[in-house]
Amino acid sequence: MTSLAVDRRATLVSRALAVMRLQLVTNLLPLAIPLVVLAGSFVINLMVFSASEQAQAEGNTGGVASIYFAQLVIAWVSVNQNFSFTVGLNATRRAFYLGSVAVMVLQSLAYGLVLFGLNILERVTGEWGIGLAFFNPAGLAADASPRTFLIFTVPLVFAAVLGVFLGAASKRYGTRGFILLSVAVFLVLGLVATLITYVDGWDAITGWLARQSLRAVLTGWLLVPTVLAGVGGWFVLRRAVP
Amino acid sequence: MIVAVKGVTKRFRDVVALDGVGFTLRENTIYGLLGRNGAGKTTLMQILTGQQVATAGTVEVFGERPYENDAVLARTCFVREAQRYPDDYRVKHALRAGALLFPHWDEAFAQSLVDEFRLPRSRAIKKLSRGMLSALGVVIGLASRAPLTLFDEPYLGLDAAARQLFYDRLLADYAEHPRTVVLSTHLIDEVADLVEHVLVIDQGRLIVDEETDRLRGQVVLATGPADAVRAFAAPRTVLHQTTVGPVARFTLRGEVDAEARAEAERLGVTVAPVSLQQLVVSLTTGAAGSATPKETTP
Amino acid sequence: MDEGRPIFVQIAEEIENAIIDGTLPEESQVPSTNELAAFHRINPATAAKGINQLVADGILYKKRGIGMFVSPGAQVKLRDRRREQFADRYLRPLLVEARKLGLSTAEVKAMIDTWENQ
Repeated sequence: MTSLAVDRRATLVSRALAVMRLQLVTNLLPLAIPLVVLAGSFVINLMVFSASEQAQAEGNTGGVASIYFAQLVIAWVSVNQNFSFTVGLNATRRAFYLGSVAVMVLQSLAYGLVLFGLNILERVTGEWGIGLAFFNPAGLAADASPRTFLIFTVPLVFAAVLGVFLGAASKRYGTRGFILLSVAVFLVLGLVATLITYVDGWDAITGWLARQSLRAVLTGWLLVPTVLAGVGGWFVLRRAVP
Repeated sequence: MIVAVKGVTKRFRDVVALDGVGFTLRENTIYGLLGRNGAGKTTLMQILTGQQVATAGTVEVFGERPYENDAVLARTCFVREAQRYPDDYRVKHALRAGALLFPHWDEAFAQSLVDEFRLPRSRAIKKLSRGMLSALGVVIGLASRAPLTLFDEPYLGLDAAARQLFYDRLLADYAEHPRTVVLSTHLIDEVADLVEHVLVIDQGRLIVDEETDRLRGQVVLATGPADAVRAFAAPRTVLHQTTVGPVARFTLRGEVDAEARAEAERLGVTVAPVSLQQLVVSLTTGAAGSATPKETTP
Repeated sequence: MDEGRPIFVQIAEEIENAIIDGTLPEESQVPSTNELAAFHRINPATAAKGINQLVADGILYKKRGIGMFVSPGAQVKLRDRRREQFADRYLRPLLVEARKLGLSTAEVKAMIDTWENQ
């Protein structure tokens, strides 16, 4: 192969794989943080629950949500830091984006499995002996079915992809633009949450979620915004400068 | 030609960073990309590696557009002045990254360079001194063996001994494994003997595109009685002139062949060569726009 | 390295000097381009240019797979060439300077004799 010709062996897929190996093999630590956050939340819930009778009466906590927020933040930080380094050396943005999203999906699958396993363990131990249904928020994960696995995993993927989108935005628009964007996003989310609370809709929503079929979970709700965030993130990153 | 640039212009809002730049780069040659700070050197390198996109003009690297081109970029390596690493990276992580991203990476070479530059493999990059940070960048660039390797002012923080080590290792490796290297620097005299071809950018324009050897002979210092020097300077471009009493010294651009030397002797004018650094400085110093001749009287 | 003249010319001249004063005898091997480049801390391509110039002039020849060697008759050839250049390179500046100082040619000749007999 003469040095004048391009390297045909370096395709998008092979380069994306290199990016994936880079993020998985070289620096695994950041990816483990959501688990740490989850463990912390669990321990706190355990302590509060075993100490307070009022908490036991309510029986339900949203503590597991912590891993989803952590997932979003980790994905955002990862893109933020790895982009400048990886694309600054010699990777294309496409290879970086594909590789990063793939890593996040794999990690989400792994964490989904962990949650699934802990969910089973919880049932087997009678909610940890004290009735704390930490891994069964609002009764959505009542059995060890594929549907339960997806209910854990799909929101993880969504959180990760949304985090990637935010990371791309922060690289493209800089700190100021990014803060503006985040504020806008959270305002919208806050507004929606307030509205739902106003019409007392939370129970209806969780009830509806619990009744969803396997197929609905697979093809419905979060997958659409996930794909949107994924595609949107790419268009945002295309013109970012490392 | 592994790089062909034609009419490249880059505009950032109201600033024109590059203005109609055109040149080619051969394979297996060391190029010097010279110019003052802010002249456009970094922007040009960013465009060659697809990190920025030109506002106008065409860029071809290895025969194709570099932007978002996996096949082309796999054969390039860009060592930037301020390389940013992920927060908890250690030196060894950066080296592993090099091994994964550069198809021609030479691990043994990288390790020996790490030893020579005395880089602590397990230290967090955040905790490295400026000099070590530069050394790490240099190690990655050298070990990458990328057919097109670009170094953008990689010397910041490197002391003279470390810089010499870099030049020596670069030359030695280049001799065994030739590649195209572009060194952007303002430490011109240090690299004068390494670079085969010189590109000078001034305020976004390419003002010199010449073999180093040919360039050396093209700028001279003519010293002597003011009238004699003026007479000698008449057919040439005056880049700079100063006078002290009856003696004048002109910096002139133009070939000085044997005939011209004889004429200088006759006129009583001493003709001396100018270092590459002085040459570039005299070509880029001047009022806004171009290198206009300056009159200075100390 | 001298500023004014191209480096490859200086490399060639250094080798020529070594041949003329006998340091590099005929048929002896000349350092390789990589060795020269590393020694002078210059680009190997530049060193190669200097060597190739000497090959083109017939001063050196290449033994495939081994290296560059000094051609037979190179010393004589170089000496003759330098002799031709001697007047232009050394006599001219000498006489120009002498003129500046008001020394006649006869006076310069006398000075040379005195110098020789020292």
